[in-house]
Amino acid sequence: MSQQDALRAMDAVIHSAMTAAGVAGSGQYQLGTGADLPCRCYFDESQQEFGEDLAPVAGAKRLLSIFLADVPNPQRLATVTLDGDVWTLKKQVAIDQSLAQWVVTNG
Amino acid sequence: MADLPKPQSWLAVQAMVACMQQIRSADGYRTDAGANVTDEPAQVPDDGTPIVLAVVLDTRSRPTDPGAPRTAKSASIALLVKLSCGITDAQQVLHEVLDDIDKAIDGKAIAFPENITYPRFASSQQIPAADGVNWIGAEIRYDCTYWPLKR
Repeated sequence: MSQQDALRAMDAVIHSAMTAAGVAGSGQYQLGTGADLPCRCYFDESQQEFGEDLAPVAGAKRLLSIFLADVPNPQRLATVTLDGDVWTLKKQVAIDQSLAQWVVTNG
Repeated sequence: MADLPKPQSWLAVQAMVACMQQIRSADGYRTDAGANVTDEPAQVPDDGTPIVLAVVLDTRSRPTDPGAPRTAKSASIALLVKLSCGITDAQQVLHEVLDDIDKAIDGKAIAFPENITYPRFASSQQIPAADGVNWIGAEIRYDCTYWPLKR
């Protein structure tokens, strides 16, 4: 078994356990008007501010980790629909042989 | 207590606020940046407000103008402009706002009270993006020299 297969098998086991626990899910990935691809993912949120001045904008940093086994090559501006919310992939921030993590924004 | 006049530096900020409040698309500007101008900046909620513009006194320094009175100070007034934007047209909208700000100050020397010189453009720079927040912005600085009124 290659390292990639091992990583993906391990992530699949972890994801199914986390889905059973209700803390992970699956969405629909779509690039433009292309085909919908079901994709397993993790969604994380934290606080983020725009501007280090007297009037910072309060916002959120939302990270979506997409399973590369489901979507081999996630693209910027593609969308993932998760629990009815549509997220747009804005910037890739981490990648390994199993997961790609993107900063996503609403809409 | 005597009813003292407002500090000259505050009047300079107020005059700048008045200039910025003119920026309305109904009045020949490209944007409505004048709708949300504040002189008391605070954290801005990401709640759909399209543009916010804060005017604050930044640094004060010794004036470089040799003709300025001994008591004069040079004040750097910062305009903090932030706009909520789409993912693909952000830069274009920022240019439009910057252009509006230039236009709102141009030719408004009369708006600045006695003993406050007409602000000169000093610098403008983009505020580094926060990737997960669909906002973009710039910090623009104008310098003016002011000195106390005789009283």
